[in-house]
Amino acid sequence: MSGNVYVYILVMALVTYLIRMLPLTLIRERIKSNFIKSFLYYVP
Amino acid sequence: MKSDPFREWVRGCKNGIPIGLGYLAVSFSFGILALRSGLTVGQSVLISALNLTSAGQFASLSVIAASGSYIELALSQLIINLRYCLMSASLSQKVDRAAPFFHRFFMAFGVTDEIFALSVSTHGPLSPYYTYGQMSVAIPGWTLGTLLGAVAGNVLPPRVLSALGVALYAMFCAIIIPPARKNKVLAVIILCAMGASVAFTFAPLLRDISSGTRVIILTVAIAALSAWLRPVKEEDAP
Repeated sequence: MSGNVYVYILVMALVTYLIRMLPLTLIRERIKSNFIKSFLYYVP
Repeated sequence: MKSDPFREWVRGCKNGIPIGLGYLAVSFSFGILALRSGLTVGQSVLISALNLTSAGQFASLSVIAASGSYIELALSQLIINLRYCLMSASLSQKVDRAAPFFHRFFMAFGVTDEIFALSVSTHGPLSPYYTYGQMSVAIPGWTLGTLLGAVAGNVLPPRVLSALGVALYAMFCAIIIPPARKNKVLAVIILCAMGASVAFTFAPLLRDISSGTRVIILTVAIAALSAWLRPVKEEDAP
């Protein structure tokens, strides 16, 4: 194993958190489009 | 109606117990695998505590063990976890508008398939405390399971370990079946999704697509198709 394990861990933690955080904080408005709303409703 | 934060938190803890137990079992096998990939017990636990994601963590082990580049690790995490992006977008519509904005930064950490499914299926606007309750059970479960797995993993035979992995599916069924019974459209969509995923697993060409990419393609395609064919009526939209 080369590379610092802790850097690996930090990189993945950062990427994973950003993926989760950005949409939740950037989308502040109510989405108007019924298509997008329905789309998000079906995501699970 | 204003919901009481403490009550919401307790409700989240209660409903989060099955998630916590399921995570305990799954992260147990992660702990074992992490140790076998050459990580220390502390590093395995750190990964679980900071990431809280099963598929991404398992995938990271193979990248780390193969001494892959940081870019490769970041890209694999991005693709495998891109579904969280959709879930967070969906959650952004469901969160109680009256709740202070900073809650979103903390809730974001707890977006997993199971916590998302439970949070989004709650009736009416989502109180951040309901999600926190689930996180308070799920995160210790996930971290503790990793610790136990890493410490005691070498004792159990592989057969027992794979049996524990099935627990995750059982838990997931417990989350998706109740809403599907109430809503016929959802039931049909779930069946289509299952059929399509089987096709992607076995069909030539399609099966060469990595499982992370597959999940994204299927999610986007099926949700878009459903939204187009059966738009959600105003009152039941999240």
